[in-house]
Amino acid sequence: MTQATPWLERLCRISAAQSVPDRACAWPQHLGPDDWCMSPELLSPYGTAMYEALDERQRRRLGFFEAVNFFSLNIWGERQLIAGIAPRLYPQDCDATSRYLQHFLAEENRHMALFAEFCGRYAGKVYRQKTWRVPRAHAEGEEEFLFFARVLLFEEIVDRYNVAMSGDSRLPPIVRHIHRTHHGDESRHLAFGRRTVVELFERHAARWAPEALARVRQELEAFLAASWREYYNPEAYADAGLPDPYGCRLRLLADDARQRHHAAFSADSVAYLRRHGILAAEGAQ
Amino acid sequence: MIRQQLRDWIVAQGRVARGDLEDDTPLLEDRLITSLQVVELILFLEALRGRPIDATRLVPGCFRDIDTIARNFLEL
Repeated sequence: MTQATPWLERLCRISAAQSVPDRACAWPQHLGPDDWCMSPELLSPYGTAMYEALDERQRRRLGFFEAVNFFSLNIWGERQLIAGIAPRLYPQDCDATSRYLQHFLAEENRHMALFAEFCGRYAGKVYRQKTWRVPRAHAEGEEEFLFFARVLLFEEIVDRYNVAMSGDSRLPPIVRHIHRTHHGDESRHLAFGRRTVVELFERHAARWAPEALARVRQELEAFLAASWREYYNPEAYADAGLPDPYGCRLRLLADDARQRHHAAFSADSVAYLRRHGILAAEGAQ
Repeated sequence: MIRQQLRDWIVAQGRVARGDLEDDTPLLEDRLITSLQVVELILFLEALRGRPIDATRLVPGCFRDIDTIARNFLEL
């Protein structure tokens, strides 16, 4: 864990100043599949022949259910995050990291409430969580490092979607508000996450056996790929009326255009992890 | 046929040779399938069944081996 530092104190001050009740949230009476709720360029088939084959109404409908999927993913991601952060509070004393993590938890809880309100109010459901974790042995510090590194990768991808949609005037104000609120808090969470991940790696990795380091790198790369696959939800495709929803998912995941989208949206995160030796340099074993 | 498709999917994940995979081989315990691959397994099973799996049926041990998966999710 990090020690008291000026940057951590600064994050605490900003979080405290922004933790006033959210009064800007005006939920419209109705939003549904006929309303654009996701930027078209962020729809999972965008850039593929499948997207071109959809008419405007089908794209809007898919956009609504993919917005529900995006918010559902965030609910599950943040639920795991909260479950992981809580036991890390105050390990020994009233440390600065724990004090910041209290803000972190409160903000994540607020985000979950926004996401769940949208899903429940307009779709009547949250898509199912399918993630699964099998316990395994870890090297010293490995589990701690992987927890924060997974959180960072998940949140950095989400944040790029938040940034894009918070400024998209084609979307209803409430959708832009949710993305803007999330991004505002996430910018601090990501600053915290990037420092914490590097600090934990530098503290522990030197003592890991080569096979443990290889395992960590492999797991992070697999986690990044798995995070992207969650954006392709057959239930959302079925709700949007697309035929063969499971086949749709597999065809889209195999499409080069989608792989390029993933690479573009992950590039900054991957470059950061490579720069700090966390992921191996491109082309290295 | 469906059981064979499940066996093919597990082998395609690249962690076990076809000849080493029995219907009672522990899949998660022997790390033939990782945590991250379980999501793909769930979606693969749903595609085979043609309908979603009830989340309440996703309990510890439900993916133990091919026999268990077939019994729990494929009605075989």
